[in-house]
Amino acid sequence: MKFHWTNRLGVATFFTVLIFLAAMPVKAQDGKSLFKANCASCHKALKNSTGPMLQGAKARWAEAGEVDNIYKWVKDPVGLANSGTSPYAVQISEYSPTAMTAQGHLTNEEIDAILDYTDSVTPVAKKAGVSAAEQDEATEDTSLLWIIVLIVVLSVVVFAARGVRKQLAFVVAEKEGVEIDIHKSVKTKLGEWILRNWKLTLIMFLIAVVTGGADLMRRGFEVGVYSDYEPSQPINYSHKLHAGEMGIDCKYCHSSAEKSKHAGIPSVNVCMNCHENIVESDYRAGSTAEIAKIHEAAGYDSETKKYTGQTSPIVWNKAHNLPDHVFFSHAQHVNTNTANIDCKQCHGNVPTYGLGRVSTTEEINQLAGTDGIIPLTKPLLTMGWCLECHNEKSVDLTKSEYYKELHNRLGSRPDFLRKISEDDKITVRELGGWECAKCHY
Amino acid sequence: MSMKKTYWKGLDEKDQSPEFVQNSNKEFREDLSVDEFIGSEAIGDFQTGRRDFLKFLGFGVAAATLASCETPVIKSIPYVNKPEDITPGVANWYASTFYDGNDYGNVLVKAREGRPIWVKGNKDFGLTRGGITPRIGASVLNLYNSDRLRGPVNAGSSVSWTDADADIKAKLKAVADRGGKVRILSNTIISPSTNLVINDFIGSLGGEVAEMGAPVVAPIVSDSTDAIVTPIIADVTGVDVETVSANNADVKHIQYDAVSYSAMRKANEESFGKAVIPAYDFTRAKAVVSIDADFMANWLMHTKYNVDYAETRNPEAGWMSKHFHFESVMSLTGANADSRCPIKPSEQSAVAAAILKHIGGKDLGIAVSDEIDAYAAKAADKLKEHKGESLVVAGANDKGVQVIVNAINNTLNNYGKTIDLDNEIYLKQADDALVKELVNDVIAGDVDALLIYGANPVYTLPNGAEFGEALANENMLSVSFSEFADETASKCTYICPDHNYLESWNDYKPQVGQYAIQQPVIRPLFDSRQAQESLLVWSGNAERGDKESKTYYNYIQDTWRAYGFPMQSEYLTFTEYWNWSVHNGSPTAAAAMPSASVSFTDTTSAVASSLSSSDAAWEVVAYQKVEIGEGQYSANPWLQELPDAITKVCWDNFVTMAPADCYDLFNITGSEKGKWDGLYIEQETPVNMVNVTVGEQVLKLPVYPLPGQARGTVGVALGYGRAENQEAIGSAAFQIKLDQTGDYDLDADGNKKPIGGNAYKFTSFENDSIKYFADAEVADANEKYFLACTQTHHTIMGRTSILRETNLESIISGHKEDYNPAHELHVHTKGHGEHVKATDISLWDEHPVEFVGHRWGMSVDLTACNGCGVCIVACHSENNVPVVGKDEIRRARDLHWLRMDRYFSSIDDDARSRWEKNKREEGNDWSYANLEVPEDNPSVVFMPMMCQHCNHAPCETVCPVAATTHSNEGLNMMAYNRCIGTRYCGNNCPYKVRRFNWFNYRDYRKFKHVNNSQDEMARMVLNPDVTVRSRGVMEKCSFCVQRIQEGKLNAKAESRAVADGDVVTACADACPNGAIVFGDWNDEDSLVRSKTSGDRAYQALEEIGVKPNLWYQVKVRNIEEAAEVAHAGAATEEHS
Repeated sequence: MKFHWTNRLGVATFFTVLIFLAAMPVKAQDGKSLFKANCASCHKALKNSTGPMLQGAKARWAEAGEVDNIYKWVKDPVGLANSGTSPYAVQISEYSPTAMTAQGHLTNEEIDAILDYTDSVTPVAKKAGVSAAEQDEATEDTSLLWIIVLIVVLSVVVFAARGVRKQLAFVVAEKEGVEIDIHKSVKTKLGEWILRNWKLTLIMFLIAVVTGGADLMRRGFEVGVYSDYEPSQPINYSHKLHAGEMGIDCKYCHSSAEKSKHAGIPSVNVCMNCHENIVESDYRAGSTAEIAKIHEAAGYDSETKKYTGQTSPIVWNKAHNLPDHVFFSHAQHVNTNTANIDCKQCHGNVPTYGLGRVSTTEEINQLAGTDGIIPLTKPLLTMGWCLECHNEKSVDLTKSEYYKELHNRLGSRPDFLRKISEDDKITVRELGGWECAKCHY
Repeated sequence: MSMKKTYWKGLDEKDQSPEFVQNSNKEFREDLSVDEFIGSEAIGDFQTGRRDFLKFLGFGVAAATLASCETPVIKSIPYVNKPEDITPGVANWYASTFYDGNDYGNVLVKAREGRPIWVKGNKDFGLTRGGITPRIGASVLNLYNSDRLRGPVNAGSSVSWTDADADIKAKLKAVADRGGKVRILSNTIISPSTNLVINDFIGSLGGEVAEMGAPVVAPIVSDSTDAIVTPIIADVTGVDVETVSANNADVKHIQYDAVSYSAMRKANEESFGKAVIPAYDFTRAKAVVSIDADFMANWLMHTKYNVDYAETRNPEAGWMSKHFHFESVMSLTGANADSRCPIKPSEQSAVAAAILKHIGGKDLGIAVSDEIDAYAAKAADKLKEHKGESLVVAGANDKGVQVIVNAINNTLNNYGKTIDLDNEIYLKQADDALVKELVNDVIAGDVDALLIYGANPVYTLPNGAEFGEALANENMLSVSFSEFADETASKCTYICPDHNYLESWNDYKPQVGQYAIQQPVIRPLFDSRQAQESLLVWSGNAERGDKESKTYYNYIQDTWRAYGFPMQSEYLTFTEYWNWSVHNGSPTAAAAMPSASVSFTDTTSAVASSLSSSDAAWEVVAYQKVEIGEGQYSANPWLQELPDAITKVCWDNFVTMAPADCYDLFNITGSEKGKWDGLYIEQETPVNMVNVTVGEQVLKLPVYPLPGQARGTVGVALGYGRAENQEAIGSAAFQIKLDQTGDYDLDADGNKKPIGGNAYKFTSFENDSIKYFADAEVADANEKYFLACTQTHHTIMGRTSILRETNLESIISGHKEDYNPAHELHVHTKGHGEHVKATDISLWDEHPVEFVGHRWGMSVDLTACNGCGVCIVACHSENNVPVVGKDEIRRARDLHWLRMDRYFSSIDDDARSRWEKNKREEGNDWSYANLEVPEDNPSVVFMPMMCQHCNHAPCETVCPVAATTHSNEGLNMMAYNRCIGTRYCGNNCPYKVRRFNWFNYRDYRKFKHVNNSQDEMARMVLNPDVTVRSRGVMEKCSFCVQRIQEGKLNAKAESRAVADGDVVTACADACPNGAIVFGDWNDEDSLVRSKTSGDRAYQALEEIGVKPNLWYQVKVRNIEEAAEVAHAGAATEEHS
């Protein structure tokens, strides 16, 4: 097999890149991830936080004449301060009443990498830009405008052409001596036309009625269906970042899901568990400004790290809406002792979403098979969808004491038990999951 | 002579009036009052041309189409800082205490996301053991009354607390400096800390501090007097006490009870040397005689007595108390008595004297009619039989009567057994003589500063109007702590609004050794401040706090740290002690031991000579109703809409009169229909009105013919006629027009008309105590008035098998077949008649509910049920039942899911039927006095009636859209969103328990003043777990399916089977007497299962084969006389 020149070029490029990569400050790359993994919860590169800012830390230790002690400090801060050998360690341990967590597992090289990284960080110029979503919207608006302009221009052309054609017809008619009643109204003309072409009219009329009716019905079924609904939100929150990349469990924020009918939108103090420290982000343009909105709601001054007491609640737009006459309990479905259903069954692959949104049936069906997800056909949050699942989902009567008792009672009614376990599973429906008062009262 | 018992709910049913017969054949009374509608001036408003109509129609359709296309954006606002103990969607329960000077009850309050939405009695802790009244049950709605004051008010305009404090302090100082008179007029204070605060306040003005014992004393007191500690709580807040002056200012605290028991304390002082009200123990009383003491609903510590008494009314226990009742107006207690004797109020002393004579005591020589004497003799026999295990109580605020009653109880050796003088109760401490003196001082202009707390004297005093005028005295500083600018507060210089009880901290000591804590359930809604804190600020003991003020909270804690904590040994640290006290609602207290040594001084002869009697033709009694009580909550629409326990009248005040007196007064003879109009209460037949005159006071009120009312007496309920001068006490406090506008009914001057008249005007100070009855003149006012009365609504046509009653004797020694036989039907299977048990044949296949999962069942004990109506209020607030107002009630469109049917009954015999028939005919003898007339003194049965959740439900089979279906747990489910409102189900319901939702109560103008969901404040009381139904659907009792779901879910989450107590309906949860039991019938260990398989269990209308999931327990009375009881066997033959 001989090398084609393009292949050779490819291999060359590959090696060049490799060489470049090797030559690049690998340490700084490692440093960034090491920093995020070990230090970022208390330290920031450019700002004092729970711990002092790390940029120039090495220089400050050097200034104090203890450049080597920095490694000992990171590995065992309390030990160093208490050893009496390092006055600078004593000095910086007074920075905060909380002692720094010892990072004994870090090697000197890794510490260097971290400090090199923090020294290399440059302040990000704040972008006065619009968020990505808004930009999208703007483009959409412009294109719509263009379409309208185009339609207007085309209609002008069509009407002009029609006028010209009409004039020409008159001219021809005049020439041929045919008398034309120019005062004949459009209505009369239309009537004459219909009489002439009554079959065509009838067919057109029927088609219009059938398609119109069908469309109306289709639309009717869509009323109140929230599938694929993603309302805008006051904070451009990303589930992809938090639940996806960070791997935060759904129930950390939606903490009442196991206890209450509401999964709950996290209260601001839950956000502040992390965002007291995480005050800026380069996740995407404007992320820092979004975090600032949490601080404003919580009445938190990220500079002084103090709460002002001036709170203002965040008004979210609800994505998953059920009508008032529907009772739904998250606890009933999510709690490990009850149905123990994976969140994905109804909410889809949330770790890939941005804002909260109602998933589509297709999206969820793609997950079918994993974590016991049952594929369904009806649109989300419709009653058909609920019933479909209740018809499929089986209940393990041996799982909890509650169901064991139900099972015992069925013992005295073997006829009924036989009937419901005919298909080798007892579904929610067979235990009453299709009854009105399960959800409507 | 054939003998059977007939049951009737009203005179019209008894007499089978044409309107009654016509209406009871209809499931929905649809006759609109056409005359009134066409005659109404407002009709002009409704004129709509055809074109306009089409325009609106087109526009409406278009708007609806457009609106449905757009998806509304729904907002969701989470907490900023979520309180640790709140999980959105899960209710929190808090123990607290209700006390308003009249009702005392240990309660549990249910709160959702910080909003209190439901109240029930605390059955686990506290003195009252779950006993509440409808007033307490409905109290949660008072919190959200929009007319509550938003902040302090000076002369009608709002001021800041700072300015008010500065001014009041300065004025008080000036008064104290010149040695002026300062008076605090309050209701009875049973709070130890409040008493300390008041004492501090008096001290700070240089007044004479009352000699006080320790406010909190453990019941086991050592024999030394060391326990008496002078309270020193000056260091509570660390603020320096600014001593105002040294010259003794005249500062006094006067306690005033609108319904006073002052004479009782005086009588006990005379008899025993102690001005106390003893503790009564109804649980030990085997014979109870009550002379006009309504101890189930209104008398003293009724919340406790009601529960205690119910304990003695359990036929399964082998004995029942025997209860005799003497009264004028039929009260709840009288209706539940085994033997009831109607007497005039002036005859109370004579009755007491007769009993004393018959039990072998002194003969005081007071004459009494033979009939009453016979009743008294019977009562005395029973009392003698149960010496030391009996109880005689009297309601009269009359020292003479009380002294005779003391003598009776002493003769019966009841002291130290059922009556405990050592462990007195602290309720009702008013001394009417002192009140009278104060009132006279105020009227004479002798008082320089008057502070009014928890009392509304302008409304409740006999001479309230005069007192009100005197309040306008510019030289007097008058301060009210009222939550509202009510009759009294609106006339005061300052109103410094107190918190609602659900926003307050307080402590209570209702009885020796019994304590309770009141804890707030919600942050103060408005800029109000607790009265105690106001007093602390004015006495210089504290700084003004903000909304989060803990001033008084700290003060209470200090009281308990100083006095309560050292007296107990259960907890080691104060924090633990305090936290558990708050958690349980009552600090621990050991049971008090009654002491047996009583020295009785007999003064009966002396009082007998001073007793007054009356020979007036009419006597008027100002009595308390179960719903309205003293009248504090007359603006509470739930209480107004709750049908009165006895009369079943809603939204109104009326004169109760014996039917026989009505026949005489309105000259009703003969059988023409027109003559009886005004006596039968129907939608289109208004009732007669009378003028009741006492001295110069005249009230014109409609007449309710009340069976069992004493001849020659009329009763007028207290608590009405509130806000005569348009005071803002709540939007539901005034009369609403009986039309579609929902506007207030205005008088000629354009003023809103109060509901009913103020019966306090008929009271008077007599012998230094307030007297609640008077000689009166009663005259036909020749006017008619529409009453809204539910008594004959939802009548179950002629099916008497709905009720079963028997006597104790049959329960103990009889067989079930005798008093509670299974219903038998005639069948013709083989061409000849046969009898088959009604339960054995059925049109339908068995519904698979038995042993499959749960089967929710309910048992209602007609013996334990006393008809108080707590369950109705509980249901109303749990299930967001709309308030519909008087006009809709009149049209039988009340929406109560649970109704309390009250049946009068009497033995029907052929002779009387003949007499009944004759008396209608012109010219017959009317003075046929010796024959028993049913309405003279009938016995009463209360029957809670709600959806029976039939397994073969007739409603389900007729629904065209399957909106009502049966669940495999035995519930008759109702899917509102599916219902299209054909009302066929209501039509087919044999129990008449389905209700049609006629209007959009949340928005329609007709309900603007009465329906709480039309008020942005009162809307907060809605239960978020239950749908607010929309117009045009059927609704009914759901067995509180939301609670069933919650109970099941809790069991599932905890991986255990559902046990008794996990699922309790609101009515069963609130019932003070445990008359309603709910649970899983398929659980063989459940209480409901054992109840329903007992001998007393029966199902209403068993013969129609609908197989309900609700069982009743036969009503048992403790009566011997065969004639008084109708055996069920006889009654059930009625249908054939």
